[in-house]
Amino acid sequence: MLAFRAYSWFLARRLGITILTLWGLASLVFIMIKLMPGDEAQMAAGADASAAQIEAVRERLGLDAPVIIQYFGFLGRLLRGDLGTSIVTLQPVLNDLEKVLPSTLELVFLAMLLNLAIAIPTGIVAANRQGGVFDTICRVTAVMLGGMPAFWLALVLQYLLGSVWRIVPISGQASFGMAAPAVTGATAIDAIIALNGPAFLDALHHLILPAAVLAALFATQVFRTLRASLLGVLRSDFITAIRAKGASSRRMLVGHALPNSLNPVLTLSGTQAGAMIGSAVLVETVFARQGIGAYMFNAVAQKDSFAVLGSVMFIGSVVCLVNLAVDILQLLVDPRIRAAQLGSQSQ
Amino acid sequence: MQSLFSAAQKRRGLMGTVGVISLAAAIGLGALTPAIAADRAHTIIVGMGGQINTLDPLRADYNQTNTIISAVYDTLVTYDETTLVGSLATEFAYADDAKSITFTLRPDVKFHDGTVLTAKDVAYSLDRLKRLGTGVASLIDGYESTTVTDDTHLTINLNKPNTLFLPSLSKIYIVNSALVEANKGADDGQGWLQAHDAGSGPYVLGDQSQAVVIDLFKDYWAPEAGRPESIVFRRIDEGATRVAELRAGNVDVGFSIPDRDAAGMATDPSLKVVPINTSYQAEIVFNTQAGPTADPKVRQALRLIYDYEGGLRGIRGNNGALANGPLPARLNCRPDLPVVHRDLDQAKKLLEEAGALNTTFKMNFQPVFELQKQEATLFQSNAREIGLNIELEPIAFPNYLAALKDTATIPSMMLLEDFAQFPDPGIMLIKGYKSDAVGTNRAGYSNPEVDKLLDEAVATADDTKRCDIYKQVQTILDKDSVMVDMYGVYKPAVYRVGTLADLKASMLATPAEPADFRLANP
Amino acid sequence: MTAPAISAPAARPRLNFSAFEIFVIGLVVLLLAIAIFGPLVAPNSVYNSDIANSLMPPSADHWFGTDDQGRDVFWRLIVGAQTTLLSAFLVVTLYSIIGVTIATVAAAGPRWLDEGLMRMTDIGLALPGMVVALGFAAAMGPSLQSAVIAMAITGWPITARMLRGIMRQTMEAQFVAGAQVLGVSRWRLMTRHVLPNSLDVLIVKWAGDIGTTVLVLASLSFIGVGAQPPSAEWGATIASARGFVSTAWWTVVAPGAAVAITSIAFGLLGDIIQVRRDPSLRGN
Repeated sequence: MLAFRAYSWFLARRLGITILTLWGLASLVFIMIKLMPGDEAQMAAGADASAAQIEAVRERLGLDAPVIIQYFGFLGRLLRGDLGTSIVTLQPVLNDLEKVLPSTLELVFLAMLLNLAIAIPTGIVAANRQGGVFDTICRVTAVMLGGMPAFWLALVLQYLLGSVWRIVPISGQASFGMAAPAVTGATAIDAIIALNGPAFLDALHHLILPAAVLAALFATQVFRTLRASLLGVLRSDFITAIRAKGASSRRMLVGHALPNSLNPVLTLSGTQAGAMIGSAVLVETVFARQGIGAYMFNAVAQKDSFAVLGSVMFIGSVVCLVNLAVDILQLLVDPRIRAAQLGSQSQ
Repeated sequence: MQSLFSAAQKRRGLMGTVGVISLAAAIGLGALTPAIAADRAHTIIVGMGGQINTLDPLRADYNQTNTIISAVYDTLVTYDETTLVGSLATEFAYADDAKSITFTLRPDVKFHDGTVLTAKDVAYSLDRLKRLGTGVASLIDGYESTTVTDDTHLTINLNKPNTLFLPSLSKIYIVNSALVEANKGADDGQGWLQAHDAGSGPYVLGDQSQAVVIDLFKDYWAPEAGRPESIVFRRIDEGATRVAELRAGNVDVGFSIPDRDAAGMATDPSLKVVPINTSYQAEIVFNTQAGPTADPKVRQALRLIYDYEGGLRGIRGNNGALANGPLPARLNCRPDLPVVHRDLDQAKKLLEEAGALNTTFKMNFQPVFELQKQEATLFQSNAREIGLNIELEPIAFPNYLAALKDTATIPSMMLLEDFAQFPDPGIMLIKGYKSDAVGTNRAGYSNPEVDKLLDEAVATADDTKRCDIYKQVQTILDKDSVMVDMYGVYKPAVYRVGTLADLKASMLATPAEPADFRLANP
Repeated sequence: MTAPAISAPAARPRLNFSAFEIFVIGLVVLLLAIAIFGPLVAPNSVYNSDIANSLMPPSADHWFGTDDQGRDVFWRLIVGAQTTLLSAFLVVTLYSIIGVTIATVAAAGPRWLDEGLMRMTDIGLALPGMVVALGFAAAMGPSLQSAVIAMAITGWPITARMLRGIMRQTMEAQFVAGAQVLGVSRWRLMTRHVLPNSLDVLIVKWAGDIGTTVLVLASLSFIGVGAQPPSAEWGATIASARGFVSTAWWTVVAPGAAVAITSIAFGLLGDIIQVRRDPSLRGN
């Protein structure tokens, strides 16, 4: 079938680009490693390693070989999943990261959910009643929220909602005794796996404020983009034609205008997912949650250079894969992109 | 377009359905699933700051690690306030030449896996430290080997007389040799011990997914009534968050509470503030060998700059006392040295004489400690009043330890809160000021007279004589201005009334040993 | 993104500003004035500690109270404006220059160069700025410099991609083809016609970006990998005050509000410029 062939061609091309990007990322990280001042073997062995231990590490990493051989050795280790060893926990960085990644993922997932769940409906209503009270209030709020530093918002809300009004927990990921047995380390996910209702609700309770704070900035961007896009579509000829045909306002809005305006929103959400993972560190430190952001932050504070660079590689890869997933999603959803992408294959 | 309409709606519908289903499942199943078994009334939750890097007894030099493992492992000897008593060892004695110590162990000590603790475990623990050479291995300087006579008798052999060795054993935790040997991997068990338990102490390592939990060990050789069934160590870096969680009841005991908050909590009847007065002393240690601080006149001048009273009152909330000498006030064998006060004119004069008024000095501090950040800033501001420029640079503790290896890399000024690893002045003097104590000699100090005196001290079995020598050394150090001794610090710890019976300060595992916790309502 | 109206000569700008626009522009000018002249008018006491007066609530003497070292919060904000805004300007200008250069080369050059540069851009886009900044802090030590470099390095891809898209579109327009037929070189076309019109879009982005960069710089200082104490940079100020939310709220609220106001003002400035450039976007 032609469509199938076109799809798979596109997929292959996209995958190829992703692999290329990952390779570029790895090379960048390698350059950063080489740029670090000091003896690389010493840094890898740990600040107070003995001379013998340092030499052992030098041999294991092959640091005496010419740079190009080291480069391929580095790539080879990456492919095997060896992101280096943390000098403070003495565990492979990948192991450390795997332990904390689910926690960040559940935070970002909830934040993205809140982001879209709030921004899309308000964007639709605001665009529909352009210039009205609701629209003005939303736009002003969007401007205000968009300018506030996330960590400041976190501190203030943590104090007000957590300490003063006591409606959300102050810090941590689970209340005492409420956590389901740890499978992934992410409390909400573990609660789902264990089918433990109270634990899930407790985990959500701990997640809601951090996720809301994380989502705030991104929600304002989605709101503005959707609103602008929708306004543009609503003014277009084809909508006028549908209106002339007598379609109800709601059907026209939701059925025709909305699908055509979602494209920029989807693109935006895709890039936002990556930015959210990066910004998670701010929220994680204020709310004492474990996550890859907090891990990286600690690694920097303790000059655990390989843990830091391993994290950069890891997080960069996660972001790449998320972008790939979003691209595929976009393809499935929007026929214009479909046509453009598939059409371009035939050139 | 029609298919899109349903796709978009489908997507949102799907999201909505998933949300509703999970919520329903949560509520519905909630009624059926029992809560996780954990007895809150017999659990104590501790809030403390800082990363818990590892639980390997090798790294008992990390404060957080030491607090936890002091309850999971045992030592041969321990301290009751400032007196040395036996723990695993029932009898111990130096040989006449002070080059070996014989021990008799208790026969009834069980490790957490059920095996019996014997002399070979002691030998293994010491040998492992010697092999690895890092962490607390610096405390067993002079260790040669252990001769195991039988299961409960052993002799530790030293390669030179060292009367400090016995007190040092209060920080050396004994590991289960069979267990560690079986899991030693390529790094002598460091990776495995990072998160596993090889101890014999009153508590066993439990769940570590959210916080480090230790559970009561039923077969401990010295059971005490009233111990909590579980102790949870929650890592909360922000002082303000620790306070908030204390007030909310999510944390029972908070360590290192900011002084301002402690003052505010003193009037709250549901909280009890305990100023922990152990051996903490805030000080700025100089590099006495290299850099602009190598000149004793410069060091003397810098001591006259700081606003001691202002810092103690404004930053520490008066939780402490002005220092007089390089060692903390709670230790024995201290000479009566004068307290240094601010004297900007004299400081300026001395700096001019030394030609150092235009030099830019650099001071390092640990940014994770909020109060130290404030003190560093205050010192910098004080210096500016006489036109002296000091740059502040943050440094993490492991990196600071590494910088001590070479006099050239030792920070010229390092602000820190020092404390005695155990309450013997000898350990601070010998580790801190002997010229061959590379890696722990924070001032890069090298004075042949002090070396001679300290060598004499470790070979002296006579306690009074040793005490006198220590006093002499401290007087020399003070005259040489090896540091800006600021003030002894009482770090407030706070606990909720009704959880703990009381909170006892510990000189070994500051601020308090979890093994000493007793429930208010057992 | 609609292609700018390049075929017609630039329309005369309307010179009557609405009240709202005057307000925003005035605010931005005020902020710039504070950034430039602030440290000159601030009293010297703002650099010195006065522990006896620490954490005093707002009063006639200290409009925003004092911080944990006894320094006047208001004047520290004024002084900190320079560091914060200057760094933000530097970062945005740096990455805009890099982005424009790369976009120009990509759009004007041969297809393979375009593809190659765009792949590089993809790689750049895959790195969240915060993460790279942490990486640089690890390599170079945490400081304002390393934060600025990290952000300049991660900021250019978005600019480059956006500009290149517009430039390519422009290049494909009718009048360009016509000019090419007339023998005008690609390069001349690029620099004389396409580039100046694309810069239009860049100005809008540049203004808005100042706002977001102030936010990100403050965030980096907050987690300790940007400006270090006792820098008066606003993020560092919030970081020092984070323990006092419950006991001395003014130390946290004041710098946070400063960051928010600056960020919002510049963002609105960007919007105003955008609307003026393309009135059809009014109502956004």
